[in-house]
Amino acid sequence: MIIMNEVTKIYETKNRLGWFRTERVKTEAVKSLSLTLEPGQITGLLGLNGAGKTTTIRMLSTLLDPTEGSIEVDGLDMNRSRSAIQQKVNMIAGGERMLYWRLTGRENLHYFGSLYGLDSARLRLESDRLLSEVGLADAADRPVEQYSKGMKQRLQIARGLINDPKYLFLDEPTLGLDAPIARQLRGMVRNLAKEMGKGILLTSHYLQEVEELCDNVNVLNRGELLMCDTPDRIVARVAGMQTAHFELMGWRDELNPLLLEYLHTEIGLNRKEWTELHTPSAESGASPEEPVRLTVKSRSADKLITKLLPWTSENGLKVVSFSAEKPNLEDAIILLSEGKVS
Amino acid sequence: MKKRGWMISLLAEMLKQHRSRTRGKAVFFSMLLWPALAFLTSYYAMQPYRTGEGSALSRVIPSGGIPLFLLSGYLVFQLFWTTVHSAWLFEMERKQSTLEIIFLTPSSKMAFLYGRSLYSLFNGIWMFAAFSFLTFWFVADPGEVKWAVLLPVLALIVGSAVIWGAMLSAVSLFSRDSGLLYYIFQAPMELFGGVRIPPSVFPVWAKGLSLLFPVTYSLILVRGALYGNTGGQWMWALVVLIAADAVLVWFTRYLLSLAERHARLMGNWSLF
Repeated sequence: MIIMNEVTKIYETKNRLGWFRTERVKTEAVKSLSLTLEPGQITGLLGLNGAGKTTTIRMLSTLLDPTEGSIEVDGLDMNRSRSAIQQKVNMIAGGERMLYWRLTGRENLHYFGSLYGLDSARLRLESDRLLSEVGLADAADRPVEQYSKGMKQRLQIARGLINDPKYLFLDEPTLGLDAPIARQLRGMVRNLAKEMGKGILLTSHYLQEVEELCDNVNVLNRGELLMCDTPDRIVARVAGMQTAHFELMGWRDELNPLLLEYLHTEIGLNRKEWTELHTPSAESGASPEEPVRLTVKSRSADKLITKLLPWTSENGLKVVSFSAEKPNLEDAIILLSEGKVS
Repeated sequence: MKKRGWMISLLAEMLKQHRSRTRGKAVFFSMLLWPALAFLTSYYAMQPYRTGEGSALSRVIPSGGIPLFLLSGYLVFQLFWTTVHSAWLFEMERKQSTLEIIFLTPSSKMAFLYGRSLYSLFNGIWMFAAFSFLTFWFVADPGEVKWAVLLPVLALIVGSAVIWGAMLSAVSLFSRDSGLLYYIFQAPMELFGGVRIPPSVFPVWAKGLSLLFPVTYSLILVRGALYGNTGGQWMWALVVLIAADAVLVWFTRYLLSLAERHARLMGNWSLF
């Protein structure tokens, strides 16, 4: 397990004031951040630009030293056992760099594998296996400069797996990829965690991707951890409940208390304000044949709809339509970054 | 095990350099062309000057020895220059962000630096062989050459060039503008190292500068062996070169650890 304990990173940069004059500026990129990453789990790291995601990944991958705090990987301290930790981790970033374009895909893997001390027999075996897994077996001996963006990204994934890392850090791995290739990569990432037991830390600007893949999400804002929970719980906590909408014909006033009772006993909703009933107003001259609109908020709109549909038919109501309105992780992150949620 | 890992990293770096650099044949063959042109330019530039007995040049270059003097100068200069070239190309690692990935691995970074430098030397070794052939078969007096001294001296110079190149690559770890090395070292190393003009005719300040380049000592050693002159100055050059090599190896390691520490503080491996 990776344990990041109260880690702070302060960058000290020089601002030019003139030809000879400079001033030192300190920027706190990460503030007292604690997080854990377990094998077999996909953990998301979210936040707007400048939230400290890339700095966090670079510290975990040994490229940066924390200014304060400690990082442990399977009980090994980052400062004392850097080489041993480097054998256990790897990083994959989005984009087309971090590869030698004049070398072929296979030559790239051989080179990077050699840096982990792999001998030639194992290099051949591993590179063939990985190239085949990422769908580049046919292009293995073509120079990388002839690869498409998606092919380069897949080669990056293979490169990140060449040392068979126990922990993998993915920094925007699907950046700029076409939808089908991004979906393929997501499948690969899920497989790495669930089938191969790798601990994966993922940052992405595509929040749907994070929602789909991650078991846990850490939300950062200006270097501080705002929240850590499952994507569903974060959405529920931050963006509120999901909403089920119904349009019903044949509504009668006596059904009001029965509905509240049913929602309380069957679904566990015991607050009246979570249910709204809009009946056509007689004053507005609306026809009694117009449908009643019923809106109910709950943790799961799908579950609520499934349970409420039988109740409507038991009470002689005709369902004209129903729909579910669900806030997503994007709504939650935007609310958090705007400071609209405490 | 550690030693084996070091060798794997060294060979991997050399192979990578070879695969990256030999895709373009034009670049490969130009490595023969430009030192040959430089030699011819220098040779004909010296033709109008009197070189016979009693001339200023005859005090430092044996009579009729200009071709041998220049060829030996360019031979040694080329060895060192190929490794400077390797440092010049270093900025590509930063541009491609591959430097960051190399430092992400547990491999020996000294092996990485020496692998780059060593390959650069191999890249130019076929040219080195051609120059040697020209020098020793057509220009030198084989009876006068101290072969038993020349061959170990050449081996020492090859080692010194690799050490010099690795040190310059370590300097490049600090700066995104490592191309600067190319311009700083080309003309001064050629002039003050004594490639075309022996340092003994320089004014004192220029003699002082010549002491900073391993090319200077290497040329004293090679020319001494070629002319059969291995006296006190030759021994002095030998001792200084060996000592300088030891210091440069230590300095390279020091620069590397300093650069790593700096990068872990600032996160600047990928900045360009």
